[in-house]
Amino acid sequence: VSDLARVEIARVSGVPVATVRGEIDLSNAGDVLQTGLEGAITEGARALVLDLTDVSYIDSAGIRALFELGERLAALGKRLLAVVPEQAPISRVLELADAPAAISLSPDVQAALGRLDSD
Amino acid sequence: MEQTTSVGAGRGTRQRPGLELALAATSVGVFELRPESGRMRWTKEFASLHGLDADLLGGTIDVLEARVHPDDRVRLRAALEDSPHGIHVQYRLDGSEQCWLELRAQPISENDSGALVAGTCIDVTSSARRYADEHRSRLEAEEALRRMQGLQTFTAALGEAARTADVVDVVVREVLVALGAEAAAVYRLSDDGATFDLLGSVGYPDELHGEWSSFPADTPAPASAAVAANALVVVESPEELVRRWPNLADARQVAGDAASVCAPLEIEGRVDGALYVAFRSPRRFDEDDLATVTTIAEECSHALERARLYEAQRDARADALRLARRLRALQSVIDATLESQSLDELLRELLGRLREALGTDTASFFVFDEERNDLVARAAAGLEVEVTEGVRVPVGQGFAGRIAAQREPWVVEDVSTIEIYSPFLRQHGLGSLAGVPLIAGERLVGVLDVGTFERRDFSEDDLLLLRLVASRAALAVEQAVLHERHRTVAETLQRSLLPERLPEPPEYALGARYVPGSAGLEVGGDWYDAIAFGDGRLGIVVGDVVGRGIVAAAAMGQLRNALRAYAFEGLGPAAILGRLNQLALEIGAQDLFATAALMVLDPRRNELRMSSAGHPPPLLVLPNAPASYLEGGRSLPLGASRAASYEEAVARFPPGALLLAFTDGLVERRDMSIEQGLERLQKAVSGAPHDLEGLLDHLLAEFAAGEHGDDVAIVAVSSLERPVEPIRLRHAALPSSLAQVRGALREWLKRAHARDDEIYEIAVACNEACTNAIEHPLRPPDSAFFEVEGTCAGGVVTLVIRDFGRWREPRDDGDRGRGLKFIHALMDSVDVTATEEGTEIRMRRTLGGPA
Repeated sequence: VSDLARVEIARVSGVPVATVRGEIDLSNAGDVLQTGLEGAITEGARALVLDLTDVSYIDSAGIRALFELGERLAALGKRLLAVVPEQAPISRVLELADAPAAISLSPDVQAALGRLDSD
Repeated sequence: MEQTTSVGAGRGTRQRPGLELALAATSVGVFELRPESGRMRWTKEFASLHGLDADLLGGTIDVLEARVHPDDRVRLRAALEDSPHGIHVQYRLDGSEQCWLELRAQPISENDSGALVAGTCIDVTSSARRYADEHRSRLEAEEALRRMQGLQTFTAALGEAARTADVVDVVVREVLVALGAEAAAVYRLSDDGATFDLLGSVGYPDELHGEWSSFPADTPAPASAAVAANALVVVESPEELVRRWPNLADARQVAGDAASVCAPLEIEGRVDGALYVAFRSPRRFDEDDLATVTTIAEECSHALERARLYEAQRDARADALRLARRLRALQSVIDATLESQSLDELLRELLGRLREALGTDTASFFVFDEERNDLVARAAAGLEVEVTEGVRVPVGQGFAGRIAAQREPWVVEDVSTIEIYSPFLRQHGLGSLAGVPLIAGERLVGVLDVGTFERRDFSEDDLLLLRLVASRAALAVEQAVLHERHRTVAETLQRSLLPERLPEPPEYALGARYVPGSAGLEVGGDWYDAIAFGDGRLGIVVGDVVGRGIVAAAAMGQLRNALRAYAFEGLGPAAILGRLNQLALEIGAQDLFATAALMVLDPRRNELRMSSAGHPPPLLVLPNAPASYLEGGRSLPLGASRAASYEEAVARFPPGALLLAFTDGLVERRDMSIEQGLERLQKAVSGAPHDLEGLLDHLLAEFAAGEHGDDVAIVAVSSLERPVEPIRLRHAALPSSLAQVRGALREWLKRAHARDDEIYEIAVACNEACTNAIEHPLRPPDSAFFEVEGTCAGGVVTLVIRDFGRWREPRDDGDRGRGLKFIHALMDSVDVTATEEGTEIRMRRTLGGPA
């Protein structure tokens, strides 16, 4: 993983929660959103919560990687639950990329987990 | 009476007694005269009668004339030269007063030698004496008649003489005529009876006038004797005069008086003068003479009394007129103090009027300086140099200094006799000075003096007026001094509360003007302020405390300082005005009432937030747009209501924009409504110079020049173009370069005062273009780099991203297209230029747009 971003993985109520901090661009999108999450995509888990609250920057390459992650998880029968607060700097770009239509966006981790429970 | 016998008798003479005639006949001289040549022939008897040489029986008229009494020569010659009509003339011989000859002749014939006159000459001494006696009595009778007639004319003339000088003139002339006198004088006793003062005279040399124009009443002289005795004093010869008044011996020599009559002038039992009549030869005065003198003296007394009354009346009328004129002058002096003027204007006016009223050449006013114990020339009319040179006169020295020390008026008729302190006073050679102290209550305010170049005797009246003016002026001056001090304090206070220097933030240019109102003496409560916040924001305040003078200035100071404190607490404009309102209500026991507008300018956001407490709206001029007033964010004035809530309005304030905040003095005038004023200002600003100082000068010239009642405060702020050095980046065409580009670009955009959201979005757009430059081109290995060039001008950021390979159309899977979509969405304009050499993406974004 590059200096631009760090990934931490934890489990909350048995659901893996990956927290990304920093910037995501062409240079690290693959590292962060593919390689960095390998350990989080486990057999037993039905979903991956991806907390992007502290991502200060994401470009089109990062969004592409995000969409690809969602597609891959879906292929595995798992869901991608992204966490992006409304005021987050990246939300404008995500809107421009129509991300809300493609992936599940929640304002915080609890809301994301709640979304999993309600389904 | 018989006809006198004579040769060639034709004309009768006076009759003579037979014996006399016989005696006379014995010495008949015969002569003949040729008038043309003046040659004469005469008999021995003729020669003998004339004391001529008896051997020479002939000569000329000249020879004959030489023997004749000088007084009679002219008469004789005239008779001889008039000979064709006959001759009859009597004459005396030289050296003989008493011996008279009579010459008679007739023209005889005309022959070849011309006219010939022949006649006789006899001694008529005895008959001449009688003749003279008779002649005298006739003359005396005529004289008596003439005197009587003369006295009547004299009385009539006196009746017409109104003034003393006229009376005296008539009297002395009459005396000469009536008495045949050669000199006359009229004296009057002075009011205190100490001196005889000459009222007028005739027949005396000038040098006598100096000495005898006034002399002590107790000087032994005919006049004092006549007055003392209330009777005529008669002197018939020089010897008598000198015997009776030895002290007058010298005067007599000069005057030439040989005889005199002096009559007392008496009116209503009071003797107050003398009429003196003099003759150059000794004379015996008869009853008639004395009666005439007495009559003239009596008439003179009455006429003089009449003249005195007339003159007193006339003087009284003149006094009344002068007093009225002075009262008018005084009134004008008092009026001058009523007008609202500066002290200097007041004093100049006052001195000008005083100088006019008293008819002096100079009038000066010195102010007493208590600390230095001296007088300072403060105002002058006629000696302005004293003021311009700031002359100071120590108390106790010189003219004004002594008046100040003694606190008493002082009149100096001859300035050369006193010590003068002011060099200019000396230099200008003033002749006379009069000065009075100005005292208000117990306090010495200054000294007022007037001066004349010509010497002048200042009258009691003059001094009275001077004192009156001074006492009135002292109060006015005292009041004006207090007023001026008051105004100076207020003005100093106000100036000290206005910012000494305006802040100079990099993003804004500021200018301000404060012009005190021209009417009235008190300062207003207008203020302005500019507060540089630590974070780059700038606060602009204009306010107007209702009221004038020290109270308003002090209240203004409190509001200003409180506003500064609230601003530094980080409060917004509306909150600050809310707090100020509370403060105004608290300190407003004296009905503090103020309007204020507060604008906070944010260079990062290119906007301003404003709140107004009933203040005229500021004027905003956006680049390439007409001026418009910021009407939003208005609420009640400070101190008006505890319930007032203050609003905030936001407006764009990008580089190139101008804000003009002002107090109502700028737009409110007697001759137009505030709406008209605002409209005019709007127009004026649109056409005004662009630099702030030029703009402010222009506005003051147009709106606050000349007579403007209220104070005017203006603050102008323009948001400066923020030239940022262009940014040039060149990086390897590798994804790892993106973060570096973003980092550098963010720093650069910050310097260009882009907002955080703007920075983010522009960075995204740039990043996408760079991603394209890294990923897309088909390029030769040696051109594996890209360039980013950024410029910012006029609030517009322009980025150019270049690569050096052939443009490859983005794949249509949406990923690549997403980057371009971002760029288009986040920037105002995007141009892509693809050539064989490479691709250039040029994109623009205007800063300061809606967030």
